[in-house]
Amino acid sequence: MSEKIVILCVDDERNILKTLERFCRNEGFTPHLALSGKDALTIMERTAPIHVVISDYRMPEMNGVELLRRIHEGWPGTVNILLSGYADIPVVSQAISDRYIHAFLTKPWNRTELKDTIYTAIDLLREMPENRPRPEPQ
Amino acid sequence: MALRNIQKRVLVPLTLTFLVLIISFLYSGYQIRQFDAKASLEYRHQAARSLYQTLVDQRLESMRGAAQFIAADQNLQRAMRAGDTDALMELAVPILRRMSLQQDIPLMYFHTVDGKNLLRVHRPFPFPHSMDRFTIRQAMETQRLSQGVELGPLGNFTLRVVYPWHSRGELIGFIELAQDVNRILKNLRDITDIEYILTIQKDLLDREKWEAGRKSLGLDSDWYKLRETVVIDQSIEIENFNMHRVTFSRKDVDTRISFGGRHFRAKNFPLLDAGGKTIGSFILLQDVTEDIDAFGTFTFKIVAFSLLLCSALFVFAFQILGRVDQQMASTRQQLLDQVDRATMANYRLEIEVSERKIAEEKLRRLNENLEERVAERTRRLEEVNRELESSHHKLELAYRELQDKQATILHQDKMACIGLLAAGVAHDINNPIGFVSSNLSELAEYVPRLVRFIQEQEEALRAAGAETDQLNLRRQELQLDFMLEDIDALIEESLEGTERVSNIVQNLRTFSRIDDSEAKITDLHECLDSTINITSHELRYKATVVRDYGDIPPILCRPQQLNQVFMNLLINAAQAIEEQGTVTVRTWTEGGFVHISIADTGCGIKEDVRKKIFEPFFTTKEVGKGTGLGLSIAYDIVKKHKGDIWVESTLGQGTTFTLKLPVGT
Repeated sequence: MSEKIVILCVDDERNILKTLERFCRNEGFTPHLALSGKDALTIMERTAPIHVVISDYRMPEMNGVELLRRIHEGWPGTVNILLSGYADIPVVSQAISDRYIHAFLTKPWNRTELKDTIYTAIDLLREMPENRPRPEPQ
Repeated sequence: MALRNIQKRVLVPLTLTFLVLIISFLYSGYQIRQFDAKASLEYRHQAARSLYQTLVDQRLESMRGAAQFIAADQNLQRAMRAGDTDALMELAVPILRRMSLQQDIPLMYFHTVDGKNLLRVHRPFPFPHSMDRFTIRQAMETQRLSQGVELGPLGNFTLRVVYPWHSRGELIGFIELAQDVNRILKNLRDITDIEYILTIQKDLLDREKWEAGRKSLGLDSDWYKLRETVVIDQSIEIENFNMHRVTFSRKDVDTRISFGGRHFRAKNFPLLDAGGKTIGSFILLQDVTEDIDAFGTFTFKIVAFSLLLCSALFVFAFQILGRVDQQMASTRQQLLDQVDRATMANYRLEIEVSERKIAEEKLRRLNENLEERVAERTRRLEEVNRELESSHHKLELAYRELQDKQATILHQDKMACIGLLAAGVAHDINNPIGFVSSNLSELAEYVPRLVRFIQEQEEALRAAGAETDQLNLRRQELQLDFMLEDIDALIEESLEGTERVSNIVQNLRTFSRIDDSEAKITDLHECLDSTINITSHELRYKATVVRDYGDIPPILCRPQQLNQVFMNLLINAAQAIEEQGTVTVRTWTEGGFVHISIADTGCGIKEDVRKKIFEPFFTTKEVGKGTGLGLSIAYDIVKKHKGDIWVESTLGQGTTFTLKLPVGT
C-alpha cells in the first residue's frame, strides 16, 4: 500500500501519547491518540483505516486486553500491539493465543524494537485476508 | 524430820566437839596455870628460902663482923681475961646498944672457954643457966666459929654466932651474938610478900616456960591450938581448921587454903636447927587469890567467848544446815520427780521399742521389694531420659531448622515486601521513564536533521557570499560547535540513565513475579559453562577461570534462575579481584546435596559486611555500579530451591561463595 500507516495510540497517560505521536511523525506514520478505551473505540468507529493499535494494558474502566479484544471483534484487520509496564502474564498469554494481540512490548520500550515490531506487524497486516487488496473506501 | 535429823546428826557432835575443845582448852589452860603457879610458887618459895638464907647469911656475916670487932677490943679482952663481968658489962652495953640500933643485933653473950655463959649483956639478970646450945657446944668442941639457928626454950628462933675469942694467941672465951630470926622472917615477908607460919614441935619445948615466955613477950600462947606443934610466929592469922591442914600437909605438896575471902597456897618446909635437926615447920603461904581470880576471869572470858562463838557457829550452822537440808529436800524431790519421769519415759520407751520392732519388720519387708522397685524406676527413668534426650535432640534440630526457616522467611518476607512495593511503583515509574526514554529517542531523530539544516544553511550563506563574521562570532558565543558535538553524547547518556532506572525496576519486579518458569532436570555443569561463557567478557581481563568439577547428578531445578545466581556470583568474583587473580568453580556431592562453590582470590569481605551481604540493597560498590540486589536475589532463588548459600572470606586473600541444592526434590 502506498498510503501512510495509521496508528491508534491508546494510553491513559498524556505524555506517553505525546511521545508516541512524535515517534509516529518521525517515522512517517499518521497517529491518532486516545486516552481511554472508550475514546479509542469512538475513534475506531469514526476513522478508517486504522492499521495498528498500540495500547497500554493498565487503564481505568477498560484495560488494554479488553480493548484490543473488542477492536479485534469490530475491526479484525488491525494489528494489535500491547504496550505495558505491568502485565498479567496469563491473561496476556491467553490473549496472544487467542490471536487478538499480535505483539507485546514492555515499558519502557526500545525505539528500534518498537519500530521493528510495527513494520513486522505491517507485513503481517498485508498477509491478513481481511486486508487483501480490495476496493478502497472513499 | 529430815531437818532435825541432819541438825541432830551434825550439830550435836559439832557442839560436843566444841565443848570438848573448850573444856580441854580450859583444862589445859588450868593445868598450865597450875603448873605455872606451882612453878612460880616453887620459885618464889625457893627465892624466899634462898633470900632467907641470904638474909641469914647476911646477918651472920654482920654478926661475925661485929663479933670480930668486939673480939678485937683490947679493953674487952682485958676484961674477959680478967673475968671481970662488970667491966665487960660496962664496955659491952654501949656496944650492944649501938649494935642493936644499927645492926639490929640485940643479944650479946660472953662465954667462958669451957662453954659456960659468963655474961648475958642484954639481960644480965637473972643469972642464966648454962646454955646448952648446939652452937656453943660446937664452938667449944671445934674451937671455931659456929653459927646457926637455935630454938630457944621460949620457942623463939634465934640466929646465933659463937665466935672464938682469941687474945694474945690464946682462946679466952667465946663471944656470942644473936638475933631473932623473926625479924628476918618479917623482912622476908616484906620483901617477898609471902606469909609464913613457924611451928615448933611441942616435944622440944616446955609448956610452962613457953607460955610464960610468950606472955612476957606479949605474945599469945595457945599450946593446944595445934596437936603436935605450936605456932611460934605467924605473919597472918589463920583459923584452926586451915592451920591443921597446913601443918599436916606433906612435904613438897601444896595445900590450898582459903579464908577471909582470900586463897593461899601453903608449902611446908622443915625447920632445921643449927644441928640439922628438924624442929618444926616453916610454912610459907602465898596469896594466890588474885591469880585465882585472874584465872577465874580468864576462864570466864574464855567460856563466855567460846559459848558466844559456839552459839554463833551453832546458829550459823543451824541455818546453813537448814538451807542445805532444804536443798537436799528439794534435790531429793527433784530426784524423785526425775525417777518418776524416767520411769514414765522408760515405759514409753518400751512401748516405742516394741513399736519400733514392728516398724523395723515392716521396713525390712518393704526394703526387700524396694530394691526391685528402685531398679524398675531406674529403668523407667532411663527410658524416659532417653526419650527426653531424643526429644531434646529433635527439638534442637527442629529449633535450628526453625531458625533457618525463620531467617529464610524473614528474607523472603523482605523480598516480598520489596516485591510488593516494586509491583506498586513499577508501573508508576515505568510510565514516565518510558516516555522520557521515548522522547529522548525522538530527540535523537530530530537532532541530525537540525544539524544538517544548520550545515546546509551555512553552506548556502557561504555560497551566497554573505557576511559571516557576525555570524561566526555569534556561533562562538553560543558555543555552537560544542553543542553540535555534545548533543549526541548528551542524548546517549540520558538514554542510559533511563535504561538504568528501567533495569532497577525490572530487577525489583522479579521479587513479585510468581515463578512462571518450569522446573526441569538439569545438568548444572551445563548451566555453569554457559554462564561462564556469557560472562567471559567481564572475566577475561582480570581472572583465570578454573573448573574443578566433581561428580554431581542432574537435579530438578529452574535453570534460568540458577543461571542468574551463577552470573551474579561470577561477576562479583571478577569485581573483587583488583588486578589479576583466579576464579575457581568447584562442584561436589555431599550429604544428599549438590555443592557448588565459586571462589576468588580477591580482596576479601570484612566480618561486618559478610553478615549483611545477602540483604536487599546492600552494596559495597560505588553509586551506580550496582543495585545491591544481586546477592539477595541469589539468596531468594537458592532458598526457593530448598537449598542454602553462604560465604567464607579472608581479608586480603579471597572469598568463597558456596551453595547447596537438594538432589531429590
